[in-house]
Amino acid sequence: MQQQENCIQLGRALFYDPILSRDSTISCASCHSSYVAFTHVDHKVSHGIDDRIGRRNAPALMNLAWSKTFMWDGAINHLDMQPLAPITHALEMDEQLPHVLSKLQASRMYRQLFSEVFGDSLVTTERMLKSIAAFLITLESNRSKYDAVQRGEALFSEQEERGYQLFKQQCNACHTEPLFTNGEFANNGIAVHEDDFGRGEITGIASDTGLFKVPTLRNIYYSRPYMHDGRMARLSDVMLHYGLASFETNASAEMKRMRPMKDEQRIDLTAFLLTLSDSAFVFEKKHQYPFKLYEKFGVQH
Amino acid sequence: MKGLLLIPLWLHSLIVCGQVNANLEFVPQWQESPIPKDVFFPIGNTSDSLRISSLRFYLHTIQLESEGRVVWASGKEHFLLDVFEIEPAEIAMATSELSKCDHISFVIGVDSILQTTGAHSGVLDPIHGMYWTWQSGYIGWKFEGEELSAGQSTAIQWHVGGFRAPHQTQRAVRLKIGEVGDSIQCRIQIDRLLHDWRSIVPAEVMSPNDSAKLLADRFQTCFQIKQR
Repeated sequence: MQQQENCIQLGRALFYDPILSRDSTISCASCHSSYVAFTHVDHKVSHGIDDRIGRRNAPALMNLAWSKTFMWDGAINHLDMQPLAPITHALEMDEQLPHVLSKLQASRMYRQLFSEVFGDSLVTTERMLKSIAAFLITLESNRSKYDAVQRGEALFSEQEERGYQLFKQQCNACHTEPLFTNGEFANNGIAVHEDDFGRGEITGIASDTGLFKVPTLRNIYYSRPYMHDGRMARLSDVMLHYGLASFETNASAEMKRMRPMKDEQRIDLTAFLLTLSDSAFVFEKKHQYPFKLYEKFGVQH
Repeated sequence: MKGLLLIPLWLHSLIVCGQVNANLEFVPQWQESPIPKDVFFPIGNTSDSLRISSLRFYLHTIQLESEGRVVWASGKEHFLLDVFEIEPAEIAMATSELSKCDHISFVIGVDSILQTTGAHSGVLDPIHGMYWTWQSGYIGWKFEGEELSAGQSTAIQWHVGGFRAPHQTQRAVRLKIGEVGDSIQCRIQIDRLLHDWRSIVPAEVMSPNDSAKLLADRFQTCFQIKQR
């Protein structure tokens, strides 16, 4: 158990450490802040090294143990491998793997942390990736009001209950309980831009063009803006999009089954979605920047 | 020069219980001539020339057969071969029936299970540059070089991989071998790989797609055992 905990703490140290980027300015947490459900609030798309701008919204990170694919296009098939994408992407951390490992190997803190987990201080790709994954796995969000209601510990208000019933009719096919995603890819009826074909870029299958991974709705209150490119700034924009039920022709079948929603229905649905906010999760200290650890080794960022 | 060309993979058996030593050598060739690394050499009867800077590939499930029976197998261990690398990689082979072997087989690429089971070490460590970080999956083989044709230079970069349908690029190779001495030399006929390539694939293939499949099919045919 102690080894497991050490591994999580090593992963946490790596997650918050800009040492993973080429010039040690960008960390995973730069775009995945714990205070907003590990996304980049109020930023349409990721900001990377040298003020470079990415093309997609940083997804919220939670309940990843139940995720089969990662990234908006599902390009990554295992949580271990996920950090390689931002570390090496020119618009994100723009780093080379051998250089990352050499920097970590040269660090007294990391030599000790790796030694505590793996029995020796050797820094390898596999060890680094598995440690980050060990930390990410701990990001479980299950303490929202919705969860309390499901456990029989609380009750929805009348408005929340109406919203919940509406949710089950309109949204649950894709944003399936309890993860509030079915883990699949869909076209939710927004216009596809020519610089991003989503899932189709990965599979090479024409019919996958414009499909993006269905995001979880948990903690949606914290994770604005919305959509794969952050084009919708407010939750009310999202409600309006779905409420009008007027979608692009390539929208997935589930979208075409949706019915228009009146203003009061959209408000009810919003009230329900706010019950998915897990403040205990977003303010969980064990997920936050490890001040004490860095301080112990004299590491400053 | 030959030392630089002969390969990284050696199969050898321990001298125990009458077992015989042998090694497996991979030699890149253009028709009958070995290919030097990073040096332009003439191709065909034209004034065209080619320079190869890198040829690396994964290999696994190596088997030696004798009259339909597998007499030695490497298992699922993967080997990363760089045909221009100086230091040979070695694996141990233990069979007393080496002299009777009539076929050798192997698989080029990375087993699909290993493509979906997270981080691995050794030759499967992504640090070797054979893993697509932007899209999960190993590059099964890499060919990089430059062709000079009619005064035009074309950089060729083929990174061939893919494990999901419809773009699987693993390929099995099975070759007849003659008399086995202390080595089995497997030639890689680059002339087959490059033959009229412009008519089937672009100069850059960097992701799992139809071109990668075509190249995988063609690479599969490039292996040939030198008969004694």
